Amino acid sequence: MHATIQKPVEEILGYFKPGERVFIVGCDNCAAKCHSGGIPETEEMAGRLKSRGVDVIGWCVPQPKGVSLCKLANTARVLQEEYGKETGQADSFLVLACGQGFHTVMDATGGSMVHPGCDTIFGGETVSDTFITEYCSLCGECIVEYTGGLCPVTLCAKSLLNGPCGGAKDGKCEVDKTRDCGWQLIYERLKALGRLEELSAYKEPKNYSRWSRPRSLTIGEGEVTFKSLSGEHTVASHD
Amino acid sequence: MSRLKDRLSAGKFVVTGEIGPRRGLIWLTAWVRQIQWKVM
Amino acid sequence: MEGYVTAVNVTDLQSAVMRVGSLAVSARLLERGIEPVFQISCRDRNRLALQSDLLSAWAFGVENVLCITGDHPVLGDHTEAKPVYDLDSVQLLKAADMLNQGKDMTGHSLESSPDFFLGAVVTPSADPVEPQIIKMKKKINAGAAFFQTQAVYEPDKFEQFMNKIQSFNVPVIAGIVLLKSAAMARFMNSNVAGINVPQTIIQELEETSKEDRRHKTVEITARIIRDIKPFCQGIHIMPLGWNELVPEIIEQACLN
Repeated sequence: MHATIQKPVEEILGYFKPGERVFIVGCDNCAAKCHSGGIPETEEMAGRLKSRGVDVIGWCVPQPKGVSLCKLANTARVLQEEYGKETGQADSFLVLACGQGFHTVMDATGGSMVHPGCDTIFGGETVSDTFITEYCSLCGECIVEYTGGLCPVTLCAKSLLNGPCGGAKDGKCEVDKTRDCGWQLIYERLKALGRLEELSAYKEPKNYSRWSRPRSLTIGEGEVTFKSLSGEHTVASHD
Repeated sequence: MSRLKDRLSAGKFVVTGEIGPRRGLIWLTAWVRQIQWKVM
Repeated sequence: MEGYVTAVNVTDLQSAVMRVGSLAVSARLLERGIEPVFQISCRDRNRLALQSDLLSAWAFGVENVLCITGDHPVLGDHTEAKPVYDLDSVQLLKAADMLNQGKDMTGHSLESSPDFFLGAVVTPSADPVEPQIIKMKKKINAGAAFFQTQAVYEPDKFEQFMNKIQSFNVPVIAGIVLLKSAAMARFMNSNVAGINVPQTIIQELEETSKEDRRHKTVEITARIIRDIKPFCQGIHIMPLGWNELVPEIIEQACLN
């Protein structure tokens, strides 16, 4: 999931020109889980902006329940058909969702002016209703097979691939005494799994061209193609 | 060959020192003079 | 005063604080006939810049290189800087070793090759120490020909460490930071990774009057050096400004 956090309302207020008619859009998947753009937060934002003099002409969190705002076809249908009357009068949209959902609203409204209401902070695991944390950095070249399933790119502050630096103290990272050393976690997990020998193998530097942006995925008949600066990479889903 | 490599390869015990550069080059001259004691 | 050390390490933006670069200072030391150990960290340069700076160092006549990870930028004075770490210290050693063999990381041939004496670091008192030892072995395989260590204050623990790595057959230069006061020792214990100053030494410093402190520092340092000397191939003294005490330490530790 894409974790997001709302921008301060004062910053959002600064976006709007006098008299600008604003339609607010939330997301019922990730932003709802982050309490940054679900139904309650979107309705609340409408009220907060109205009470500060903004001309909010409507709001919605595209349904069905749990659907992601970044599904363009659904978002376009909801904004153009279900809420066509309000969105037709809007000068702009405020999006309470991640950067992908944000762009989806641009696409769904024919390139309208769209304002970001959230900062997109990471891709994470929804560990519980109250805690979301990051285990993957979306690098495009997964190596966790060799690190006990724990990603050093994400869990090590320096993204080291060949083992710990000398900076850990009492199992905690040099950047933050409350944070576990990622390599200590990897070491303990590999030890528990009886796979400590994985640590001895030299790991090549990462291919950062696979981490270039923007990247894309094209879904074809029985195959998909990943495109990055490392080239086009097609994989078949059958033999 | 570096003296360090030479001595270590020959099995001789070595002593090394350390200096930490500072912010401005103005320090450099005085400070290189200050560490002359380190020269083997 | 001359004639005490073989080479002098030049730190690379130590503590992630912006300063004059280690390459320029290494070159200046060479001009004065002082042999530098050029420290190069992975924090600030990608693989292009690391390899290029290594060749630049060779162009200046720098032969000893110590490849290190580098303190994270948040520990320094430019906390919002982008941490690079394109390579880690093992990969950097391997890249430097490839330069020695006349090739860059892509396999392209160099017109002439350097002949660096490559070093790396290890923390003998890390807990657990096993990951350090595994990484040390990887560093040797990648090209490290000597090691310098984090500061050592516990001779028996250091001896145990050296026994564990005996089969590696690589020279280890044991580090020692001059202890200026009990407060400094306590600070290092709680804030510096891989350093453990025993309580007995802290007490010794505590019971020393301010006038006798420098004398005590020399005595303690020389004693530790005498104790660990039989297990290692060299001593790396980090004086943190108390440079003038070094000759006396070396004499008391019977190193000359």
